[in-house]
Amino acid sequence: MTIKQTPKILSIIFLLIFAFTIPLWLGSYWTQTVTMGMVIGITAMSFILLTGYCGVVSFAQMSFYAMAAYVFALTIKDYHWPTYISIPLAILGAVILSAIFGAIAIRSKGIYFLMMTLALSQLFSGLMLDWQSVTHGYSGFTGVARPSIFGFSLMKTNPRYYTTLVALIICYLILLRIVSSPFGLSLQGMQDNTRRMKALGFNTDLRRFVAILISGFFAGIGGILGIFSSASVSPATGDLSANVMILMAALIGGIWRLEGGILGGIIVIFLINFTKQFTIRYWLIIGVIFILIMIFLPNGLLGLNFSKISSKIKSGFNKNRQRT
Amino acid sequence: MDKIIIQFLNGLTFGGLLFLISSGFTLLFGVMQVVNMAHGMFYIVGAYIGLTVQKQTGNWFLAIIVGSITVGIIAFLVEKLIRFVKSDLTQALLTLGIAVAIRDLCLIIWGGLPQIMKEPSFTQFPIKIFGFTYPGYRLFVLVLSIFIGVLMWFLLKSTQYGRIIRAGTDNRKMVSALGINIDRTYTTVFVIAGLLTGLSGAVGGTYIGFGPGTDFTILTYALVVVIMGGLGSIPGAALGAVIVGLVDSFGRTYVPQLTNFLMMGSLVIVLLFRPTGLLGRKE
Amino acid sequence: MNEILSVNDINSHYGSSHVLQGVTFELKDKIVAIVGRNGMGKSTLVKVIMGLVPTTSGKTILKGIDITNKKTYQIASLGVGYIPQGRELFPSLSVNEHFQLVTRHNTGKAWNIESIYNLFPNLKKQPNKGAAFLSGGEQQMVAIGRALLVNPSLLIMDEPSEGLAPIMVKSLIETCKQLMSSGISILLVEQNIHVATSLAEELHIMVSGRIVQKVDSETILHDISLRQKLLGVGA
Repeated sequence: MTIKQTPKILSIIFLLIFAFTIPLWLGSYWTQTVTMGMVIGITAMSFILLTGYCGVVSFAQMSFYAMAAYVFALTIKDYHWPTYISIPLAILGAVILSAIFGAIAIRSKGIYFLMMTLALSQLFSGLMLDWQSVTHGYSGFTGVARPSIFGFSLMKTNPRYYTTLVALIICYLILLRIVSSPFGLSLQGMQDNTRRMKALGFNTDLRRFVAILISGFFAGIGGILGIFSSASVSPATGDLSANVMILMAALIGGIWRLEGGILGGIIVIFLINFTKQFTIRYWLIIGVIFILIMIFLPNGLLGLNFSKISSKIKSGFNKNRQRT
Repeated sequence: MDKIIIQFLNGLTFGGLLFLISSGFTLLFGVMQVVNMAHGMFYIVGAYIGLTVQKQTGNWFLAIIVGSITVGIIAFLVEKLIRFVKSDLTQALLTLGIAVAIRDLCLIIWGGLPQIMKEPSFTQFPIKIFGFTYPGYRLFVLVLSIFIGVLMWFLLKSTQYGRIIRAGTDNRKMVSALGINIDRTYTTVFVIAGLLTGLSGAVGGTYIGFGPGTDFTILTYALVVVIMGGLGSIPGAALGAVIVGLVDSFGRTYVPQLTNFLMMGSLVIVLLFRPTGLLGRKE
Repeated sequence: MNEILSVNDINSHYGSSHVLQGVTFELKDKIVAIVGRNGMGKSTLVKVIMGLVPTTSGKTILKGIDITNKKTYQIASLGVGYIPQGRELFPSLSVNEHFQLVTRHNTGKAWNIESIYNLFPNLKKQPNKGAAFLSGGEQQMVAIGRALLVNPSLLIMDEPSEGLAPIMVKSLIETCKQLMSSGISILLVEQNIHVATSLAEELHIMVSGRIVQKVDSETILHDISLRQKLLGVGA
């Protein structure tokens, strides 16, 4: 630990303390909002893993989310299986779906990949709608009982908040580890120059496929935490609008860094809940914001050149020092 | 056996509509490498405007013309907006934002209930075909889509416009280097795609109910058709449309709960053998 | 002050790479031939002149008109025919369609489709052949014909002999001489010294994004060590 790192560590500690104390001073409704924001944040991180580090835009993350939610709801509500089976099964479901999507879309690049995942995710949503005998069609599952994790119940807002927060931190740390591992670095290499990586002997398709599986895993975790919070799932959960929301979160926060997903997720949910209070037409506003971001701020908030701003502050600081 | 023939005709006529819907999309993608996420929105605006015009004037022809032109104008504006962003990814996302914003606008103006337009009187009588009767309107849609398909083929093959478009798909910069203002051509292509899609919206909205959410469904169908048929290929779009139409029709009749699954499956099978679509370019 | 083309201190970047570092030359009359090794910026220079690549600084003047920031199609319309490296024909079009593409745009001028077929009678045999199926020599003919149909006063040729059989190279040189004597100026970029010296009396040598010197064609043809020094091994 150097002196230079101290401000960074201090701010992280401050952030953590801040995060842990939120339920104490924020009312129940807004705490729930932050919880949902974190859920979307985890899913957005799974999106960013593919976009920022792998160079492919996936419009299917919410499908994986929805898959986990559906499996959980089905096994808990219709089959009455215990939680310790339902949860892993749900996440497995998400990973399997991501494997299927990944296998189909893997050879496509860039914009084709986007179109493929969009089509697949829409078809999946349609399947959830049509397959009424299993998925309950249009209304999906509602009133899905929240389980008890390690003894304490998730029925109330606060326990859910803390569970989600802890899960978010763990997911973030794991993803950080993955991204800076040799595997993660090879992904970034592939994004920059696929041909060279192939020439070096890397199986780029396989690595990309694994990355998709990993993203499916984390989106599945998002789905589980999501259904704990909302207690429901329907075909709308994984459809295009939901995927647009993830996209928005990543864009607002900044698609190049994991942190952007967390920031973006919380902002988007806040934006939606806030706008909801004034008008039900929140998609119109979101759409317009989207357009403005694409034109003016394509690198998201984290993409703003903070180093320029901070160096300007520093030089002003030094000037003052020299006078005395 | 009768049932099978009817389903076949249903699939074929739906395929005709799908071709109309998808041709605008593939024109934009093939020619300009623009993924127009607002494509579904073009469709429903055409349908909604057509609905309103028909309600006000009782004239179906006027309805589809106004619907078509309105979307053409919207397409023109979208094209201008797209010039602000550079990469094809940001273009796709920008059009997505526009789609999301306008669909909500449609919700405000027309409300959330499903709508449908009235069939025009000249098609209201059923037609006798292969020994039994079939709704006239659906056959009309098939004939219309074939007509437009042939028109597009002629446009591309024999006109200067078509040459510019085909050359531009190959090598945009080289076309400029020959003194041709290809940007202007591209604007026109965008407008044509808008007109086509708006038309398909009003035509489709006459026998298929539409409402909020239809735009994403249409976008999905267009994507599947175009991916299956090969991005940028108009004949591919025709082929893909027929296949999707038939799969959809037979699927909904025999295994309604798994129609989407069948669709996914068909896409997978096609892509296994031809990764760039049935008639797509080899990249 | 009646140069056809005047290039003044042109700089251009590719990302952070400074590709053209102050290129200056003039095309007064018949031809300017620019030679140099691979990667020296020859093709970039041509693309900058055509407006396909942005100019960072400097000026390009065509027949008295400043074309530095003009759009590509505007530059071509001012009478510049472009024959890029690798020909860059349109695989979707046939031979005849290549010509129709350009002629429809400019009617009633010196060069028309018939005169192109007169210049290249071989093309007349299969006018509907797809461009992708043509031989190297045939492709070159189509590329030249296509460029001529804009009725240019200046023809820009980037490595026109590349990939051509020797007999086709001879025919290429003949065609160029014919065009020059009909009043068209040529800006030639070539790696092939023999082609360059056959057409121009002096060569402009390009090294690392700049024109470093002009050398008399006779001299460089016979001085092997000079060739190697300026143009690399085996030039």
